Amino acid sequence: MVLGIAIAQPAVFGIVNGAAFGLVAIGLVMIYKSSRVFNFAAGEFATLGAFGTYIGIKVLGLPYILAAILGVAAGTAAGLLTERLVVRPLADRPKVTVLVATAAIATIAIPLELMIGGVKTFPARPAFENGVSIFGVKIISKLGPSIFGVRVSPQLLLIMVSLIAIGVLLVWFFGRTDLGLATLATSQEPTAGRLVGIRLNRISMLTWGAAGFLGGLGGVLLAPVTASFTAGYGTTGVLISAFTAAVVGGMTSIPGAFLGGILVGLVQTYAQFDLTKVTGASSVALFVMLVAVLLIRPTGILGTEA
Amino acid sequence: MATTAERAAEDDATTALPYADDGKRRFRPTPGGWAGRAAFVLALALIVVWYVTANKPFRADELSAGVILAIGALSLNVLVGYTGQISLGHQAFIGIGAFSAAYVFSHNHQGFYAGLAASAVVGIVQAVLLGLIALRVRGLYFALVTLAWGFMAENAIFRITSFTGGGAGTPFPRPSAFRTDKTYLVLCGIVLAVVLLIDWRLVATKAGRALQALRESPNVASSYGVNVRGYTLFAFGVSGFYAGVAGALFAARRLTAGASDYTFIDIALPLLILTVVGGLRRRGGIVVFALLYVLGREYLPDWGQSISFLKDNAIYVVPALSGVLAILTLIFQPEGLGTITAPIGRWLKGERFELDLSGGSGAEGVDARP
Amino acid sequence: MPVLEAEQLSIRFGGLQALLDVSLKVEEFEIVGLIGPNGAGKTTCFNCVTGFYRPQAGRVLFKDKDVSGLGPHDRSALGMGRTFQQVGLVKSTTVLDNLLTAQHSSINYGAVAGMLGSPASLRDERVLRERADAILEILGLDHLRDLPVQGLSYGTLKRVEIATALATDPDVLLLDEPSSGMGPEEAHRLGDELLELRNLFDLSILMIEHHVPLVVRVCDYVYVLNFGRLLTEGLPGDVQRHPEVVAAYLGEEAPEAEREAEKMEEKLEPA
Repeated sequence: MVLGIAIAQPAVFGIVNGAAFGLVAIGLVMIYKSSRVFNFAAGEFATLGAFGTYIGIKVLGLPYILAAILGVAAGTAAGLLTERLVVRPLADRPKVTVLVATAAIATIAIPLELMIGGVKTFPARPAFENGVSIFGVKIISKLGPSIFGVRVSPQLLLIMVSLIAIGVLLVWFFGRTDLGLATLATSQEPTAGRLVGIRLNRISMLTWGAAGFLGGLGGVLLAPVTASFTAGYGTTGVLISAFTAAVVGGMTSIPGAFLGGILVGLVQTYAQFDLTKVTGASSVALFVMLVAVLLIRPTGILGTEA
Repeated sequence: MATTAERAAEDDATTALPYADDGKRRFRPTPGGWAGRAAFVLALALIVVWYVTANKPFRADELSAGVILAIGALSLNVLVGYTGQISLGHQAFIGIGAFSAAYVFSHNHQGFYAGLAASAVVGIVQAVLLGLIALRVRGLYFALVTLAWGFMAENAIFRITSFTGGGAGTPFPRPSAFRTDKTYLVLCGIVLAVVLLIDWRLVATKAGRALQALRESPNVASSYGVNVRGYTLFAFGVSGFYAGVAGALFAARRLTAGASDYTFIDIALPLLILTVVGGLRRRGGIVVFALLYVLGREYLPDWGQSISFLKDNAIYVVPALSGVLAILTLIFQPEGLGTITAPIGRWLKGERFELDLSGGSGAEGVDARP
Repeated sequence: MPVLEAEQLSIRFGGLQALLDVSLKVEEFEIVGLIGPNGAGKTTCFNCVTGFYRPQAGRVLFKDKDVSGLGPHDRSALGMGRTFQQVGLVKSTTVLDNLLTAQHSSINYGAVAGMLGSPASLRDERVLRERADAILEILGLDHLRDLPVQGLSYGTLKRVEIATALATDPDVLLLDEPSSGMGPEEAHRLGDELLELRNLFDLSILMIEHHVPLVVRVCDYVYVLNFGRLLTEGLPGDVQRHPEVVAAYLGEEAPEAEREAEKMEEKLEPA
């Protein structure tokens, strides 16, 4: 039983962490599906999410929920700005150029974060530090419920709930709404989309805004897990995990991104805490995972093209 | 052959060369023109000498950093500019050179120059290993691999205490002949000159042509007899060579190789920006921008005395601004600073001075190899 | 002894059998034509012969040596020069630069020696330029020497490509539709030029062509491909009259095609 918990506790941690990576990865896949571009600014969307929450709590004194919304809004705004100022002017250029340009965004964002934040490490408060109470009745304690002997903190619960909600939302969006179908269509055949009257600019804005939203949300949810974050944390800590998740799941598959995220989270957690306890073991694991997938099955688990 | 001569006359390509002069095929400057060019070079040399010998607070240390960054950017330029491979993990290239040099010094008790040699060799090996992966993984996805490679180096390899000395780092002092900041700058300048010379020869000979062909079209290159795989690995090797050497210089400048110096944010991103803003395949632009970048970081607080915002935040403003410049360069003028430095270079070599602002090919790189 | 021989080449892509048991031969100093309707597999055949594709079955013999395991750059170094249907040149540089790059295989100094500027490399570089200039002059393209490839007309590019293929110092030249984009007079002159080049450079030529008069005039032997299979082969005159060949191109029944063939023969120039 004890051994079970020894395996299960990191597993829960890894799954839920990975789920948050999955959120960011979905943003990456959406952009790739619609324009075959790799978005290297996604990391900073996440940092801005965490940063916005920090500013909300520290500077504006908002309660957590509002600060979190501010964080997600910051990420979304960054996504929209990136689309308008960087992606659209480079629309007809080689994808490599766009990749480098989005990487340049990190160069701009990180010093700005340092400038505004003033310090290098920012604390990140977890959600529901005092548990969740409804009408004065505590339904979730500070430490979170115990599921099969494993503690699931409110933060982790929040991540799971968010992910499920987003998943449902996306399935509904892509499957049932006109806009969603249009996005899918133009991702496969932009010219045909234009001919049919779909406004590509709108789709582009939507896709990047969603990527910003997801990135920001990912940052908001992930930072408290490690209780603090630094400037550029999204790019150094989240980006490569999210990209690996997307590649593992298949760069063209949204459910794949989710699945990939969980796999990446599990592998990283076990590599870091269980197997070796060596510093940076998770980075090695990520590298090995990425190269292995690209060499053995480049389409990823659920993807449809190399 | 009469037929082909006739055909030549009918050819619908332009028959008047841009530099057509009295039926001569090429433009040649007059003696006066050559004198003007010589005067220009002399003036530049005099400015440099004055700057170095004048008794002002001369930030030799910072300039060394600029020169070292320039070498690092030239390394990245070999991959991105000449071969069309993106590397977002160059902190690995540079750091491994630094730690190899330091290791050889501290553990094998060799001197600086042995360390320098070690950094070059290890840099080459590390780069070629990564290159082997590049042969199997398509362009954009390879960028991800380099990103992961860089973080693996930063977080894992550079923290192996037996290799790198962990948090404290490993000492790597400067050679006795170049101990002071000013003399060390001279050493760095010499290395930069050697790198530039090698790079110039690279581009002008068969390897450079082979790389240009394979960058644009591996199939055409193959049909010309170019071993695409071999030359790709060769390019990685050259890039690793420059970067390894830069790493050794980096460490000796700080007198220690410490893991916290070789990170994505501090090395990989700035090098990318330098290469882009300087201009891909524009060595002059890259070197000039590297120096400006470092000087800007240093001198902006002095110049911006009246603007307190600049004074306090120069260290953040310069990187952020260069990021903006990079994006602007990519959008509007992919030749970057090279738009200015390249025509000057051509002028000095004896051609007409022509500014081409139309915005050249820029960062095409490899775009999803088949 | 045939200088180039393909034996029973077969290749499939997914569900499509692109080539099935295709065999052809080029004897020394011959000019051989490879014709067939669009999509017949002619370029695929070229790609198999030059090493860009690996066929599932069959082999390629070059100067009596089995080169089936060699990559395209090795085959080029051995003496197989080729052009591409969509003009294979390095577009981001000049005509001269392409001709220098194309001489890659004949350069003796190593890559590193070149980088370090060894005297041998400097000498070799001069020789390369001289050779490039000579080839350009023979083809009447020397006035294009320093012009960027980008911006030249399609017809010009096709001829520059012949120059670069010659620069690889080939024994066999594989030309993929050299007369594409040319009118009848130009194609006629191309024919003259190919004959002269064959003599001047001691070449054998295998060419994919659609231009029937050119094929009839210039080729010593012709192979016809249809749907990835060898339809027939023979002397140009015979092949031209072959009812199935005409049917393949015109898509008509054989008897009908025979009448068409007679009509065509009357209209065409004498060989």
